Amino acid sequence: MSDEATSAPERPSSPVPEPITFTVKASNDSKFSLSLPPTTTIADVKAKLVELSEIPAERQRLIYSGRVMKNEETLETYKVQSGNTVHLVKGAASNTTASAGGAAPSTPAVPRLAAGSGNNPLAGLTGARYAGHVQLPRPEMFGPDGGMGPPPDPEGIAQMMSDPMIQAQMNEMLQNPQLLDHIINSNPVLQSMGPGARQLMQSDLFRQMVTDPATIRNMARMGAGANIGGQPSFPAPGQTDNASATEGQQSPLPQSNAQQSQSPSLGANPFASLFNGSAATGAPPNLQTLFNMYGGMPLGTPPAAGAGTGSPPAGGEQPQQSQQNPMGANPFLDPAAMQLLQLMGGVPGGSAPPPGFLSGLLGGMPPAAASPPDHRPPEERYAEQLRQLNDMGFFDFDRNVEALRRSGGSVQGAVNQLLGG
Amino acid sequence: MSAKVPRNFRLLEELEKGEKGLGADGCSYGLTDGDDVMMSNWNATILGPPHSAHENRIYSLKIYCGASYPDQPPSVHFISKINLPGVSQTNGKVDLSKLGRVSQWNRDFTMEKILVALREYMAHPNCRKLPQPPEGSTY
Repeated sequence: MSDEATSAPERPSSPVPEPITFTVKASNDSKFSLSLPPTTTIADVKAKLVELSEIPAERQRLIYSGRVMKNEETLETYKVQSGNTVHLVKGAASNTTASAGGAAPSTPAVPRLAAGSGNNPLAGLTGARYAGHVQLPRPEMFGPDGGMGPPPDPEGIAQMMSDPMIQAQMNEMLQNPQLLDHIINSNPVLQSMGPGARQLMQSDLFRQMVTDPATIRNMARMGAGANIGGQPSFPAPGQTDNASATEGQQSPLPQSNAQQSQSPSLGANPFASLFNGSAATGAPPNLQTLFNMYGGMPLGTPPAAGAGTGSPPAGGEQPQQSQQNPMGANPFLDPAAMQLLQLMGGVPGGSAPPPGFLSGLLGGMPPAAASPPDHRPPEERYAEQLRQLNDMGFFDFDRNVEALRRSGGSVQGAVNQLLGG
Repeated sequence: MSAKVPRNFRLLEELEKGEKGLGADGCSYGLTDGDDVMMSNWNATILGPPHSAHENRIYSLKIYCGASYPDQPPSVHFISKINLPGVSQTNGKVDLSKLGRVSQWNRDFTMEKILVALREYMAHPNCRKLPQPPEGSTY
C-alpha cells in the first residue's frame, strides 16, 4: 500500500501513457471497470459512463479521494491509480455550481426519479420510512361514502396545519425540488408564472406562510370575505387616498363591527381588508400600492380603532398580529408573489375556493402520510397550540403539554383531556 | 493488548481504503497532495443523505491530521457551506465534541468514522430539514 502512495509522484509522464484500469462505483452498488489513458479528461470519462450507468453526463458527479472531479481536468490530475475506485454519484440536473465544474447546464436533463417511484414525486411520501408514523385522518375528511369528499374546508386545513407534524412535512415537501416541479407543472397558473413561481415557493417566507396556521386562517377569511357579494368587510388600514375604497370605508362598518366581535383577529388583520378592498375595485395594481403602504406602515398605527370600532381587544391585538404575521415583510413588492397570493386567496374572481392552492397541495397528499417524529422541545413544537390553550384559560404548562402530547397536537383533543381529566 | 499502530501506518491504511473505495457509502477521502510525506492534509466529500435538505448535494471538507493523530482527533473543516449545528458559520470548522458518536475521541477512530458520523448527523431529524445555503457556496 505504501507503494501506491509514494509511487504516484514518481510516475513518469511517458509519451505513450499506459492505460489506467480503475473501477467506477455507482451509488446503486453497480460497478464498472474502465481502462483509459491517464490523459483522458473527466468529461470523456463521463461520456463513457453514460452508456454504462444510464446517467446523463451532466448529472454525473465523479468523486475520487475526497475530491469532486472537474470536467476539464484529466485522470492524471487526480492521480488516479490502477486498481483505485472512483465514486459516481447522480447530482441534480439544474446544478450549475462549482461542483459541476464545466458541466453543460444548458440542456435540462429529463428528470430521473428514484427507481420504483414511477413519475409521481409524492410516491416517496408513502414509502416505508413513514411506516409506523401513520396518523389517521380525521373522520370529517371522508365523505358519507367513505371516500375523500370535496377539498377540506378552510377551518379543517387550518387545524391540520396547526399540527406540527404536518407542518414539518409541508416544509419538507416544499424543499423537494422535484415535488415543486410537480406542483408547478400541474397548475397552469403557476406554470405561466415561469421561474418566479419556483423561486417564490422555495423561499423561506413562503414556506412559513403556508405552514403557519394563523396565516392560513387569515387567508381563508380573506377568501370568505371576498365571497360576501364583493362587499368589503373592512377598510384598508392607512388607506386615505384610494377613491375606490371610500364606499367600502363608510358603509360596511356595522357589519365589520359584528364580525370583529366574534373574531378579533379578522378585524385586526390588515390583509383581509386589503384583499376585500381590491375585490371591490378589481384593480390589481391598486393592491400593490396597498401592500406597499402596509409594508411601510408602522406597527402601532391605529387604523382598526380609528375606523370606529372602539373595540379594545381588537386594537390591542393588532400590533401583535402584524408582528407575527410573516406576510408583513416585503415579498409583496414582488409581482410574482402578488400573483400567487391572489391565486391562493381567489381574490380577483371573488368566487374561487378560498385556499384553493392549499387544498390542491393537501389534496394531492396521501391522507395517511405523516411526518417522521419531531424531537423539538414541547414549548417549540406546540408553541401555537400552547398559545391557543393559554388564550382559552389553561395556564398549566405541564398539563397543557401533556394533553397536547396525548392528543397528538390537536388543541381540541387537548381541551377535552384537560376538561375530562 | 495489541500494539499501537504508528501514525503513518495508520494514515496509509486509511489512504488505501479511501482510494480503493472500500469505505462507507456516501463518503470519500484522500490526500490533498499525493507528495505530502506527512500525510497531514486531506480532502473529503460527503454525499448529502437522501430525504434531507442535503440530498443530491456534495459537501467538500478538509481534514488536517496533526503529528499526534490518531491519539488526538484531526481538525475537520467544511469547505462547502452548510447549516448544521456544531459547524462554525464563519470558517466551517466542525466541533467534534458535538458529534455524538465521535465526541469521545478514541485512537481507533478514523477519518471515515468522522465523515460517517457527520453524514448521519446531517440526516438527523433535527438537522435534515434545516434550510441550507446555496449549493456551491464555500467558506
